[in-house]
Amino acid sequence: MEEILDRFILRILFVGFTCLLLFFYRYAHYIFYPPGKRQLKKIFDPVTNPSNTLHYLSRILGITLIFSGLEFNYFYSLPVGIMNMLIIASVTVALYLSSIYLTESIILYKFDYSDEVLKRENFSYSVINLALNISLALLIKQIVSEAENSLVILFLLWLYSMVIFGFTTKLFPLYSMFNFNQQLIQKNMGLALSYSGFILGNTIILTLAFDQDHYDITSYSIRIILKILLSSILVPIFIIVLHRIFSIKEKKVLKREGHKINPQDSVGMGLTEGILYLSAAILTSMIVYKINLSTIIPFN
Amino acid sequence: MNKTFFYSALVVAYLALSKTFSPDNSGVEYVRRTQDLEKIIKRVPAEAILLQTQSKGFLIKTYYQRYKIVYGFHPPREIVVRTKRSFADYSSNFQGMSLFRKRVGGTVETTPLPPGSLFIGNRQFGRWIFKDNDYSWAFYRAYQGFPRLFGWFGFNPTRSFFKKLLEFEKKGVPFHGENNDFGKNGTITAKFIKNTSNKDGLNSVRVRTLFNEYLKLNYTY
Repeated sequence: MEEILDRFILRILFVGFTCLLLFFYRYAHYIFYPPGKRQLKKIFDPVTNPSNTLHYLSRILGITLIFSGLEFNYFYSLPVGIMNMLIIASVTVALYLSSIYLTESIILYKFDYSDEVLKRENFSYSVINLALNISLALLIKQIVSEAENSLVILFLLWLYSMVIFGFTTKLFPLYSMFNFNQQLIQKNMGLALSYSGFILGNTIILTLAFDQDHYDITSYSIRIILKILLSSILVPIFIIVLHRIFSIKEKKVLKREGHKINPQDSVGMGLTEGILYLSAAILTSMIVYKINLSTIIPFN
Repeated sequence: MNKTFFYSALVVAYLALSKTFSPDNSGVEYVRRTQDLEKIIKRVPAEAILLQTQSKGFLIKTYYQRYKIVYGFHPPREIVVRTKRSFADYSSNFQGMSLFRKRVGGTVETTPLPPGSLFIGNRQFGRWIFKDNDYSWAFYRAYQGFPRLFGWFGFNPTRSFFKKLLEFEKKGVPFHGENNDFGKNGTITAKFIKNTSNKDGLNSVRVRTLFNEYLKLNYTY
């Protein structure tokens, strides 16, 4: 009976510990994500500016996704376990906020948070931020799991993942009919939907690429690149096939029929692009990661 | 046009990188020529007998070879190596033969000779006995298993065989035995390879057997 009570109390204590981590996360914004300072200085009003609300809450959703991957194992003692969890959580918070800051500086370099969200209430900008924040959270959760409590490997994998993630985001013009910067200024929701599907699809492929056995970091890095290259070959095939099988009008046909990227048509176009890309990425991940052909060995 | 070019470049880059790094074969050594076996075979005296050559892949092929390494004073082992096409083609004529020999002192010989050539005539491992009007080689009791390892199947090396062996070795010319017993078309090698090939692999499982097993497992009460 006492043991049950002990465990119950411990779980309550862990709730308190997680709240402490969240409190730390809030104030970590001051160091690792300076643009977010304004949202933290006073009590946040979710009603006045929905785009600001989405921009702010997407980071809360992101950190909860990352914290969901934290583990506590009662191997040695409670303080050692908690210390390990605290260190990993602190480093993860720093990496997550730095990743958001980096991606915003690279992908959204032409846009400023205060202009787009506070002044212009650009909801499209916030939806793109939501997709980016969720994607980064999923990616960091994966690399924390792969690093297996090694801070050096965690840092190396983070750098590596950021380079690959940054590179994949630059491929958007090859896929979409939307001009990213131009349409984002015009608060185009179609662009936001298309970009969100594109980013989330890429994240699925990237997280699975990192989810491999690793004994040697060089071989692991090469295997990641090869899996991503293979995925980038297969995704376009699935997109074309999905268009053909389900008789969805392609970009060329839409343009020929005189459809332009205006607020009426663009939502449908963005939804199509986003959902088809996400579906193609999920199907590709099945082909690349679930069909295991490495067991074909000679002389068998 | 740009997209087609980009896509083609992507496919080529993927295939080239996969072929170059071959992450699935990271534990398999690459052998360009027979001498390269020296980096795998560390102990002496040792002899490498080529058992099988195989290519895998539809358009881009990878060549593999299976060798049996017979050591003088250690248990034998089998190794699988990757190789290039020209070497695979060249050495396939010498299947079942000794392609690499490393003597005490580190001297390496790579002339293709019948299996066991390194040990014939070496007084550490056996002696010549007079039988049927000729001298034939017999291993000591401790090395009685060697003829089985070499796949001799009753073959007894004679003095005349040994002399020819030394002659060919000196000239650096491949020797297939006095009656073409060894090598791709050798009669003794044919028996040896038949005996060593892996017939219990997954490829030999019949679909009908699998289906019957499936039915028995799932629908029999």
